[in-house]
Amino acid sequence: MSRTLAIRTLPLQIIEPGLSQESMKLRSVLSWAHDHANEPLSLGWKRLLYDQAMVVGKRSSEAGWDGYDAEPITREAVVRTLQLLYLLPESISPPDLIPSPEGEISMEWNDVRKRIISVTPRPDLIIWAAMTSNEHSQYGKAPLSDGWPDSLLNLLSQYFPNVRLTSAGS
Amino acid sequence: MSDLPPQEVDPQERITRYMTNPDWFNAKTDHVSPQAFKPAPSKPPIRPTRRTSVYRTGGCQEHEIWTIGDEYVSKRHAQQLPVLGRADISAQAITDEDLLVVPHPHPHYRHGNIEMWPEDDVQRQAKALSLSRKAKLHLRN
Repeated sequence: MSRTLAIRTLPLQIIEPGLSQESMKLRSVLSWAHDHANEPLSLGWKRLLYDQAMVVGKRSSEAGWDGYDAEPITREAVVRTLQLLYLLPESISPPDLIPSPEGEISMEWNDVRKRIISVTPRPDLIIWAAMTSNEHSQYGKAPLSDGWPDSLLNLLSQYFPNVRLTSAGS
Repeated sequence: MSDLPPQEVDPQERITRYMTNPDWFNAKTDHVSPQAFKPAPSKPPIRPTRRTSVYRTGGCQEHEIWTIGDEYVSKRHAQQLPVLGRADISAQAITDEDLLVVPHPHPHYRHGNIEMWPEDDVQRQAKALSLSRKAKLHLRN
């Protein structure tokens, strides 16, 4: 069986001393908006997911949005998700975007065989956990600035490839 | 309404997490999201520890289970978000993850919390995922 290998792009991070936190946040939003505006129009599912991330963020922007004690999802949290979506290889199937009570938007993949991969961005980290059978679980974390970890991309390529791309290529 | 649950939680007891968010489950794949079980961060003094609000529904009839969700989850929310589904799981499956179901009979005598969540983000993510995989999804008709 052939499978499409994930192509990874490392994000560019410029750290300048003397910039306030607000300026850094603003720069982060502008940088993402610039990249987004320069994408080719053909990026179908990513474009839909960008819109969906913003809808999820807006719908969950007040504390207690889950009927319990959930933290509000901030604009910064939405941008973190957008950045990870931007870096997600097209060879991976599109994730579900799920609001988290911790105030983030998680990306999840699941199937009828109860295989689940859940990825949550945090201010400086990408946190992930996966169970692909009763016996096989993996979890880990990596700096958000490094983008998607290779081990996670390999797992996603194996269990959740973008079927439309792989069948078109075979 | 059925009898009072005993103070001590039986390992075989059914524990219910009500879901008002449509993104927390997927009817097509019969999937409950790990986010449905994740606790909100602690916020002393209101919420001194991370905890997930649940109900002890062992011995309840179906209609009673949904009534508890309507009265004590939906109606207590400012926007009265309707209960769309629920994730049922045994108390044993929760303790297997080194978490605890702690009775907390407010606002209802069947109310409890899943507690002892680790502070480590990765461990918490892994435990929430494991619970979601063991939970059974029930949709509101």
